[in-house]
Amino acid sequence: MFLPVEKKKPQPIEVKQSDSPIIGRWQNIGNWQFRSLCFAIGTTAANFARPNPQYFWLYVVGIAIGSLSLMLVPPSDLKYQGLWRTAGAALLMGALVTWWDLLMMLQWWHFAGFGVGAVFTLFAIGSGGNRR
Amino acid sequence: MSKLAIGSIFGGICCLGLSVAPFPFQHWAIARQIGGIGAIGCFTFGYFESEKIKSKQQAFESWQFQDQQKQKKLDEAIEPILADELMQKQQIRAKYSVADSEEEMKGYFNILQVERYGEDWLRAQLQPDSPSPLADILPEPETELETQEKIETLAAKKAKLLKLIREHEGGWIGQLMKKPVLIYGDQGSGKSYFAEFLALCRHYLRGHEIVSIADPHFHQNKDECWKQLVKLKVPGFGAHHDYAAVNSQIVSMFDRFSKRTLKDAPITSIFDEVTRYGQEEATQESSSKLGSKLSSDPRKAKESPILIAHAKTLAALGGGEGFADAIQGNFVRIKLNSDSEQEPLWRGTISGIKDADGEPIENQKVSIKADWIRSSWIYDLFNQPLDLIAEIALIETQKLPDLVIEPIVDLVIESDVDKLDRILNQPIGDDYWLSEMSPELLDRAIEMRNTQRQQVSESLTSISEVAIIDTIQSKDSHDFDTQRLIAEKFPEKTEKALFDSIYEYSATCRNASKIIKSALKCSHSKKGSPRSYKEVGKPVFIYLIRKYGEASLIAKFADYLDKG
Repeated sequence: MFLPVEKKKPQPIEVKQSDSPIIGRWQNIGNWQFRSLCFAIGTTAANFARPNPQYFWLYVVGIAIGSLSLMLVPPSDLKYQGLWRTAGAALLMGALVTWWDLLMMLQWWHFAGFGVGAVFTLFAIGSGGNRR
Repeated sequence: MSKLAIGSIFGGICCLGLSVAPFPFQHWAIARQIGGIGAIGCFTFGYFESEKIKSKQQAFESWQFQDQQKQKKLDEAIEPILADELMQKQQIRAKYSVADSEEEMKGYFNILQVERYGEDWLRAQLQPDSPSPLADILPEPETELETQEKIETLAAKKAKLLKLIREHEGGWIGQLMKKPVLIYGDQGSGKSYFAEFLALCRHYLRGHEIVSIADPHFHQNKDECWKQLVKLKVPGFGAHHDYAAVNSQIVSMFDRFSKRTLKDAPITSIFDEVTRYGQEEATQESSSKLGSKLSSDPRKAKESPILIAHAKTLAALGGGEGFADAIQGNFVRIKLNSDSEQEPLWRGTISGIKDADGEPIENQKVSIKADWIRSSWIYDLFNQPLDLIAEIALIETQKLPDLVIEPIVDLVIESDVDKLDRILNQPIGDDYWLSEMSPELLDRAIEMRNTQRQQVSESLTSISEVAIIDTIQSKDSHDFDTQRLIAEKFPEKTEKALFDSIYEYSATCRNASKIIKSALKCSHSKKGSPRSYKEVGKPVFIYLIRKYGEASLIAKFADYLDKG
């Protein structure tokens, strides 16, 4: 704080170009196309998994890894982080929606068990994070 | 939006619908799979299409942005130049405006002067001097001040020298300015020094051109007795006893005698060691004619030679009795003496000059002892700095009696010109005005005066005519009509309130029509209506402005009021 600090010369203010509403609109359309694409991939993967029981878990794992990768490993550009997370969710949703006939068979305790498991997982993650 | 993008979205949604349709899965597996693949294809295509369009748009906008930035920088660079130019224009405009005002003032002043003095007297004062025929030929002087100063200086120098010459021993030196002069005497008697002094006197007082010095000892004398002439770039001939060169100068002089006339500029030539000319082979022939030529030709050729010889050389020059008589009438002969050490005594005798009655004077004793009878003194006098001359001028000035100017009290009744002078608090002298005046300006002033008189008479006539037609009664009746109109159309407001409303709008708006519409609520669309613009708004506006408005407000709407 008290050490002599070399004063930097003030840099000239660079005027940056801001995106116009037209570009924003096309960016928005492109984003929804990307989410829809991921949703379609999830749907198609689930559709291919049903008639091939021997590869069932392969597809399930593939979908899970794909969606988690999109959600948890987004690009460094902040502009696209939200897009990739929602795209990962769309992939998972697509896969689940395809199995609508199987989802109808779920009971209340399946959801309760999922909730409890989620809470325990969060707790475990939290306690692990505090360890020094 | 691109058709392809819309199509792809629509196709993708359809395919997705097919892939998740609530049909029994066992029978529709292939249809669902095809639907899913179709949706992937449609959305992929749509995604890349929208990205492509977005990139294109970005490129276009980037180009536009750069273009704008360039334009901005250009504007920033031009802005100070434009500002400077604007400033210069303003300055020029102001300058012209001032010049116009000056011109106008001068015009009015001229008119007053014409009134005061009368046209004839002014024209008599402004008679132009006849232009000199040499004005077009002669080059322009360097500067008026410098030239004037030079003239004054030269005049003072000449006056000083002439005064000394005049006061020295009856002014005998003054009689040596034109006639050929023979200076003779012993060796070391100062002949050459006096010859140089005499040549310089002629040069500075009479404007003689000193054309040559023919001296067989020029190489020895050039830094001594001819020193000042050498400084004036007078050419010397015959150095190292070159009598051929001396002869050439004698021949040249004879040639000049045959060509020059009395109208030519005066010249002086110097011939030293004339005694030797008859003895040297190169000059023997020409010297035999020298005496006779010099006794008859120099006057008509405007040449005044100075001959320098030793003692007892008169016979050698003429070679005969006849010549001796001739030389006595046409030459001024000065004999100078030296002592036994061959040092000059600065004394001698002069023959050949004439007294006041024209009788020749022979063997008058003269002295050249005075300090100023030296060539160096003359040279220094005419080439010295200006300060010394200024001193001389000062002494001359001090001799003049002091002039006391009595103020003239004018008891005449104050005229228009005097009034103008007094008002401006800067009296302008008539001399100044005359120096500024020219015949063209006078003509213009008279023309302006006549025009003004005509205008005044016309306006007086028109005023009297108008006065007959348009009486005060009619004006009052017109105002009464407008007052009644206001009372009918604006029963809820007073005149003052209406004017305040107009005044309020006039602070922000200069357009009378808009003010009438806004303040008086009168518009063109309401023709025939109770508040018509033409029948109500306009006359009420004019009446109120004229009645309650200040001068500045009336001036603001002067055009509109005049039209109304």
